[in-house]
Formats: sequence, C-alpha cells, structure tokens
Amino acid sequence: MAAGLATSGLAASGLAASAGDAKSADPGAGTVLPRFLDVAAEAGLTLANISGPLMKTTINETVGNGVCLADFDEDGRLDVFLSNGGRTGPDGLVAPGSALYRNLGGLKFEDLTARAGVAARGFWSQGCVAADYDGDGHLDLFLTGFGRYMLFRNLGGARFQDVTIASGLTARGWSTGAAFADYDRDGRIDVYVSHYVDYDLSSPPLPQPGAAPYCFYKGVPVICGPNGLKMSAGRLFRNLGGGRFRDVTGPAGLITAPSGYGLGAIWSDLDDDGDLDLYVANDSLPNFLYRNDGGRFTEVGTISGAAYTEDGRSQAGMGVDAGDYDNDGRIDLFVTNFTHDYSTLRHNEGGLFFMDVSMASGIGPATLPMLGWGTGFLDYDNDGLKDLFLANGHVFPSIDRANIGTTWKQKNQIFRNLGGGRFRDASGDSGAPFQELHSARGCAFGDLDDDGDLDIVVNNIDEPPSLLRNDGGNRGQWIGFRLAGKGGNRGAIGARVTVVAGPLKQTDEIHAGASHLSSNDPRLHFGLGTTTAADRVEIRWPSGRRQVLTTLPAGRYHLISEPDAPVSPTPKN
Amino acid sequence: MLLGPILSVLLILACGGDPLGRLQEARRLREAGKPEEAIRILSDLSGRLPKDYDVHYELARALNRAGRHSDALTAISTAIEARPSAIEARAMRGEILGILERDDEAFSELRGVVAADPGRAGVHRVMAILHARAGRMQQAANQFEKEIAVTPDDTDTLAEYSTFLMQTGKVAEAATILERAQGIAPDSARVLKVLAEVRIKQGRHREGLELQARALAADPTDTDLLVAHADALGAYGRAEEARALLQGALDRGVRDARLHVALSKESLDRLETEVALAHADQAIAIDPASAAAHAQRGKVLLRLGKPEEALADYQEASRIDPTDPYAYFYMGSVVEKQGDLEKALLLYRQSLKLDPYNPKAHYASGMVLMRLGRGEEAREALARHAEIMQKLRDRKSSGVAFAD
Repeated sequence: MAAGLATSGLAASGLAASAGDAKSADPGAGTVLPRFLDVAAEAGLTLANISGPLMKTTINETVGNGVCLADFDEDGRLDVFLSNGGRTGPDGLVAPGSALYRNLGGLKFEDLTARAGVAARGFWSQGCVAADYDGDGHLDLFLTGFGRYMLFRNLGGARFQDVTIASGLTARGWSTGAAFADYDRDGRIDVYVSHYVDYDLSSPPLPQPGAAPYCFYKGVPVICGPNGLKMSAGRLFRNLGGGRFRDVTGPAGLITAPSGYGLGAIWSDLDDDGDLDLYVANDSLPNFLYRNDGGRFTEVGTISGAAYTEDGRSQAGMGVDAGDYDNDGRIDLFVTNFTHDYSTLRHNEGGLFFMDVSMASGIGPATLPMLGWGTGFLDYDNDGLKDLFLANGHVFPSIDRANIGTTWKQKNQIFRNLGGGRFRDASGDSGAPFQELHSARGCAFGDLDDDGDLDIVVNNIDEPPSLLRNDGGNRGQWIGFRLAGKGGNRGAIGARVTVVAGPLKQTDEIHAGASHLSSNDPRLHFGLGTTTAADRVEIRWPSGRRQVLTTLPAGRYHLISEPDAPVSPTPKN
Repeated sequence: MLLGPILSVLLILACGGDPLGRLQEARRLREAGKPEEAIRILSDLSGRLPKDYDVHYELARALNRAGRHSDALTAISTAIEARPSAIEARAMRGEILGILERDDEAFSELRGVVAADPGRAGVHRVMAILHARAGRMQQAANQFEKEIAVTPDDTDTLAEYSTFLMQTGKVAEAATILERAQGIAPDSARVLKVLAEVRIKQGRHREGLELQARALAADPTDTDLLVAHADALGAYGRAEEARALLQGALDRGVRDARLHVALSKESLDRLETEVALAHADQAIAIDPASAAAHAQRGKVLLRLGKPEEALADYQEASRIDPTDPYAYFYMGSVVEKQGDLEKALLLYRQSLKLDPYNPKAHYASGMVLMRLGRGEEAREALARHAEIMQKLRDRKSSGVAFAD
C-alpha cells in the first residue's frame, strides 16, 4: 500500500454506491448495451430554454446554453445548473434567468435557484463552469454571456454571492466557453474565457439573413456569421488570490489580436510535461493549441496538427473534449463541427503532434449530417474504453426547407468505442432519446444517481432540457475518484489519474470546463469491464506530487486527499 | 511525267471512288463531330495520294479534332511539304505545336504566319493562349488585343478574351467586352455562357442564372453548360431545379458521363452517399476514360470511409489525366494512412507541381514532413498553407460573392 491512501471519504459517509444499488447489475451480460431514458420532466428539470425567437434571425440566438454538474450544496449528490438565454424585444432584453436544481436523490430535483441566488435574471447567459476558485471547499459558479461575465461565490450550502466586480473578472463582448485550471502552478486556479463574435447587446444590430454575401449557406439566405463578422480574442485571467483575478492574456503569450471565433475551451496536459496546455475550438477558423512552457504559452495549433483537418481545412469548431480514448496514456482531442463536415477526432501521437483520425475511426462519416455542439468522452458501458456523445442541432431553423440532407432539429449521437481506434454509432441501440429530435446545445456528463454509470444532461434550445439516465451501464464494473487537492486548488483540477485494472490501463484528467459551454461531474469515472478492483492507481496532482494506490475495490467512488508528502519535482518526459 | 498521277487517279477510282467526294465526306464527318470516321477515310486517301495537300491538311484537322495531336502534327507537316506557301497550314502547325507544349517552335511558326499575313485571323489568339499558359499575362493580353484589332466582331475571340480577363481577376473588364459581344451577337450561346459566369462572379447571380438558361436554350447540346447551370442553381439554393435539370437530360436519353458526375456531386452535397456512388459508377460505365468520373468515385468512397477503394479510382483518374493535381493529393492522403510517408510526400509534391496554390497539398506535405522529423521544411510548407488560406479568407470577406 502506498502512503497517503485515503479511501474512506465517500464510502464511509454513505455517499458511495455499489454497482447495482439503483438498478440491476449483470456483469456477465457484457454484450447488452446500456439504454438511456429521458427522465428530465419527472426528475423536475423543467427550465424552458430561451434563445431569441423561435425563428432565429441573428447569430446570437443560435449558440444556446450550457450545463454544469457539481455538488454545490455538498450533500454528496450531483446538482444541475442550466444556463439560460433571453430575447430582445421592443422593451429591451427579456432574460428570465438560469436555474440551479438540487439533487434530492433518486433522480429527483428541486429548483433551488431563488434560494441560491444564481438566477442572474436580465443576463443573457451562455455557458457555465463550476470550480472552487477561492479554495474554500465550496464549488463556485462562473457564467459567460453577453456584455459581461458573472462569478458567483458559493458561501456554503449552495448560497451564492455575486462577486464579479470585486473579482476583477470584467469584460465586454460575447463570452462563450470557459475553463479553469492552475496554468502557472502557483496553487490557485485561473480561468480562460473564449470570446466568439465581437458583439454584445450594446453593439449595433447584426445583419439580417441574406443581407451580405456571407449570409448564405448553400445558396439559402441564412443568419449571418460568424464569417464576415468581427472576430474576438479569448482572455486568460490569473488568480491572484484573495478572490481577485488579473487579465494576463498578453503577458502569458496568448493571442490578443481579435483573430478567432472562440467557443469550446479545455485545459489538458497534452504533451505530458506536467503543465496544462490549452485547446480552443474556433468556429470557421483554425483552432488554437497553446503549449504551456512553465506558465508561458506558444500557439502551436497548426504545427501540432490540432488546428486544421487532415486536408488543411479549418472547420466550424464548437464543443471540445480531451480524453485518452485508446488507452495509450496520451490525451486525445475531439471537436464537434458543422453539418456537411465531420466532427474531428485527433489522436495524440506524442510530442504534441496530433493526427486527424476522424474518417478512419468511423466517426467522420457518421457525423456529416449533424451539427455538433456539446460533447464528451465517457465510458457509458463501463468496458474500459471511452465512448463519445454528441449533442446535435442546426443553427438555421430555415434549413428544413432547403432539402440538403440536414434539419434544424437533429438526433443526438452516441459512439461506442470498439477498440483498435474504431467507433460505431450506437445511437440506434441506445434508447428512445436517440430517436428524438431536438436542437441540442450544451451537455454535461456525470453519475447523477450514483449508480456507477454516467448519465447525461443536455440543454436544448427553446425547450426544456433532457436528462438521459443510463440504464445498464453499470453492468460492467467501475471505479470512481473524487480528489481533494491541497491549497487553493481544492478540486485538484488538472490532476491526472492512471488506473490499472487487469488488462486495462486508463488515463484521465480532472477538467473544469469542457464540452459546449458546460462542465462535467468533477469526479473521475473509469469502467473496469469485468475486473473487480483497480490493481494500481497513480495520481499526478496538480502540485506535481505523485501518489500511488493499490488494490482499490471497484463499485464505489473513492475520496482521495492529496498527501502531505514533500513536493517532489515532476519528472519531465 | 504525267503517267504517275494518271495511274494514281485510275487506281483510286478503281479502288474507292471519287477522291474529291471522299474528301468532302470526311470534312462533313469532322464537322459533325465524327472525326474518327473522317480519319478512316482520310488515312485511306492519304495512302493513295501521299503528296496531296488537301488530303493531308484535312487529315490534320480531323486528327486534331480527335485529340491525336502528334499524328496531326505529322499530317500538317506533310501538307506543308506539299505546299510550303500555305499560310493556313502553317498557322495550324503553330497551333498544334502549342497544344503539344512545344511553345518555342509554335511561336516561331506563328510569327512567320503573322509576318506573311498580318491580317490573318486566329493567330494572335493562339499566341495569347500560349503566353497565358506560360504565365505571361501582359503579353497574353496584348495578343488578345491584336486579335481583336484584326477581327473586331469575332464574338468567339471576344468571349475567349473575356474568359482570360475573368481568370486574371479583371471581372469588370470582362463584363464590358462581353456586353459589346452581346451587342454583336445577342443570341450567341458562347457569349451568353461566359457573360453568365461573369455575372455570377459579380454577385449578380439571378442575372447569371438567367443568362445560362438563355445560353442553354441557344445550344441545348452543350453538356458542359448544362452541368455548369445545374451547379450554379445548386449553389444558389435551387438544388431541386439543378437535380431536375440534370435528370431531365438523362430522361431525354442523353448518355453522358458528365451528367452522372454532376448528379453524383449533387447527391453528395445532400449527403446521399449511396446515390452519389451509383451515379459515379454509371459515369464510369458510360465513359471509363473519364478522369472526372473516377475522381468523383474516389471522393465518394473516401466519404464512405473506404480509402483503399478510393485509391484505385484516383490512380485511374491520374493515369487518364496526369494533370489533375487533386488526384495526386488524394492518392497521397491514402498512401499516408497506409504508412508510406515518403511516397505520400512525393505525391503531395506532384500535386503542388501541378497546382502550387493547392492549400490542401501544402498542409498535408507539412504534416508528413513533421512526421518525418523534417521540421524546417514542414514549417515552410505550413507557412505557405497559412498564406494561401489567408488569401482565400480575404477574398471571401472582400465582398466577392460566394454561395457558402
């Protein structure tokens, strides 16, 4: 046994669940795929999304909203925050607010918004990220949107205070994806915020469909942009401590000139050198990959193969995720894109070089009719291989009339990882939700019923959300981890965990901010197939400390606290 | 002295009838688009009349029409030997030398023709094309101007010059010339066709589509125009009409691979991949020697995630048309996936030789060079890619009309 083992945590406090507690477990029936069921309405997740009028006329009405899954009230259950938009009318902006739902257990939720103070009425929000920015042990909430950011400090028990102005997190424009991480390894988590078109609700009106040459799609007059509209630059804010942030975009080496239409953003140690690199999906322009060299960044998207498709095209990058789908110990990248183009899986070849393997993986051909937004690597069938989910929906309601092989409302997709770099579109075998049509946007993944398999919450444009309960994912064995870091990074954001269980060796990281405008369950979940224990678990903490645990039983979430052992330098690979 | 020709004529009359009648029949066949049949007659005649200027001149024309340019050169040279003073034959020889990319010889011949007959139509036009092909745009423009000075009302030349101007980005000048040409020949299919293209480039797409329709009405047999019209209809949100137009031609019994290639592209745009494959298959069945059909089938197969099969089609496409840069690019792409990086690089470079502005090939070669550990060369290729991509973006945002 390695020193520092702390497996009590959740299990001891009764918050862990064994596989099969909530649903029947049948580890022998490995070939039966899990099925999902949309239980949002009965669960009480009812917030009606508003994104402008139903018939969209400008691009700000099309990007939709995000989902954040986090245990805000610290009762051991994952709560749900849904960001919401608004619409502008003769009387100005109407933005009825976002919603926080408290998980009561048994997949029942109560609306906690008013008590929590996070409705943000009058704010047309876009995305959300849950992260404990001040290291006080309570998960805070950061919102992006039009004209400003919002930072809600969790005072404990899911009571929040708007601390935006005091925090220094101020900006104009249109902010979208955001992600927290301790990029400079000073023990405090920082935040990167993507900005999309240079526009907010105080800007001059956006052009109407067909008003300019860039307002056509396949000859049909459509919503203008982003091409042709003003570009933006994302912003990096360094956490100074004491609840204050400072914009360090330029000094840190990030691009400050408006040169992108940023949406998804994710921090990940893509070159496995111990510090976190930043990947940003740009709509219609090459994606950015910022290599982190000890807190200074260099944009290496093109030379790393992460900016363009294999034939050198920029795509309409939307949502992003980073995960090791082929269990080679290196973190791969996935970006959702527009219709008539594929969503892009990039395999990490090592040395910060990526290969576009979309077509060979089977994902490329199957995603051509879809316009993807929220996404994530998730092992939904607990077989030890990370699968992929895509939330889909077009940006042009009028596209239905164009008869060009795509529609405004679309089916979501789940791709089962077959191993060997191949995926199969398993949507047809995965339950009724994958036959339903929505114009889906943000989505987040987490074990909402603590039954050992991953559920999905999707924020649908102009509709209530979907809560896709995973039934049967827990037929396979699993193990989960909640990491408690030391110092300011209590959520251990950026920690890397490698789990060896029988023949399986898997790697994952803790991210705060991914998918489209969303953030996932901060716990890490690993499917173990038929293996009933993890033989070895290695944790590389954001501080650089390494910890090895052995023989951890499957079927529960393990609370692991960062050890007090002296900091050892992180070996460079 | 006279015994030989007399015997020849007697022999011809005994073996195959009146040579003048045969010659006229061959000319008719060529003009009717049946050059191979004309060649059969003329080859027979040339064997019997080896020194006859008219026979060899007509044979050269038929061979040229059939795309057998080397044979055409031999025939026209024989004609010139028979009648060295024949200016039209020397002009034709210059044109054929140009087609065979023997530019220096072509220019020499054509300059001789101009010296002998400064007012001869068509010679400056050929010289203009040769200059344009060599990238000497100013000289090309000068030659076009000279040609127009010689034949100011030749709408074909005006249309050709306009095409040249359009390709060099001088869309407004092209429009002015075409408007003049339209004044001379309001119903010229060729003028209407080029003017349509200009209007589309100018963002006046409704007018462009209307002109295309008029051109098509003037020349319903022009399959290239029909395909271009369908393409434009599709690009401007009238995909249903485009499909109906192409399908209508098929329904009328037009058996042309180009129609199926166009329908395959249109189906692929609608993400109807299997239909696209079926049309590509039909195109190949109709014309196995169509490089475009093979390239299209390769594209569809890549979409279907079948790179190995696509490779065979791209190999065939490049065999048929070794000047297609994209065939080499996609071959490189498949070969790269098969792991042969060096070969992939060669193919990308071959593609770039044919089209130095192909961003895909610059990017792909950059990526292969990275994988080969040749970082400096990779950076150069990627910088070139970035430069071209920026130019393309600038063109898009500068107000040049585009459908997507």
